[in-house]
Amino acid sequence: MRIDALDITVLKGGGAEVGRWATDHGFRLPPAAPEVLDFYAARSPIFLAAIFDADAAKARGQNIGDGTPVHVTIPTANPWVPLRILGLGKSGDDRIDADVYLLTDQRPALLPYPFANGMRLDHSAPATVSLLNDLRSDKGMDWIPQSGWLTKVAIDASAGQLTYDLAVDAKGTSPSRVAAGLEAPASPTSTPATPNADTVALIGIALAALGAIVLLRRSQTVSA
Amino acid sequence: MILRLLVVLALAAFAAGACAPANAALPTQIGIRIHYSHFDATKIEVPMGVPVTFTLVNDDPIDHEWLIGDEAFHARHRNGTEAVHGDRPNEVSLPPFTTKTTTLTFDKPGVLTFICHFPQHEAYGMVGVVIVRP
Repeated sequence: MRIDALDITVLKGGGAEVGRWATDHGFRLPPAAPEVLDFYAARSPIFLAAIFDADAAKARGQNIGDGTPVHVTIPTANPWVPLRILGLGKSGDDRIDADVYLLTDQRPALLPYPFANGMRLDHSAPATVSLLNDLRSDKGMDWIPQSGWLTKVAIDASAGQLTYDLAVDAKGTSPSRVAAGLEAPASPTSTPATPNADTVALIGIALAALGAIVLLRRSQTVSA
Repeated sequence: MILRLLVVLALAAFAAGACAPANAALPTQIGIRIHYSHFDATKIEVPMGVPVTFTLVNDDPIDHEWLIGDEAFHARHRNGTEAVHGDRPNEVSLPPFTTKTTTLTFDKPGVLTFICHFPQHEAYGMVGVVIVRP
């Protein structure tokens, strides 16, 4: 799939398979990649690889630092935001700044909690009608509900601090410690035969790092 | 005659024992596994003057390399542009999930370092030492 200057491929496999695919397709993965890929593969076999086409970006008039927003629709009961991978390829002291916006039906429960270690809760309140109307007016965003809860989490961490992901329980009860990276899965990843489509979460991801591999999890099986 | 021969053999055996190199017990077959961009053995003692075979296993899905030498050697490779090594026994390229062997004879005692010089790999910890014992 092509989005602006990005070639995006959805992959299914273990960390070794995904790493091998990336190597075979010209990615120069950083040394932490094998461990990080296994970390995510133990939680889900679905990966998304984005290849940045510098020539295409130049032809489009993009400059260094220009991001490409990508909307990915993932049927899941609870959103889950990979944060640890933002440190991939960086040294332990490098800074990572990112903003995560969550729109849920009600106030969510988040993990890690309480916020510390480079993560900060900047906003947590009912979404305003004007915001929802504005979001709904964008292309492909007519799914936006009439009401919801808006949460903003700011990441201001060193790469060495960022050893966790952000787990969300949209019903406000108990987010998964496994999804947050605080516990290892009890067994290798298994995906349900049918996706839980009760809730459709939409995550907008700004690919700020050119050539980065962005990992996303979804609850249904997809093959490359 | 028999007694004399036995004595000679015993003396020969004693002499051989007395002259045996101190490094005789050191291994000449070394296995090094790379996993999560780390060498599983980072301090290895080997004997001087005999061939030592290294079996290098790359368990990772990314490229690595095993380059062994002194500081001047590594200074050259830190800034080098050779993407692939293969012609020299002390420079081994290891594509994903491969195993390679290389045999080296160390002709003087000392400490040599082995490093993966792909970008960021040395800083990530892909460093080890070989101590050559006389």
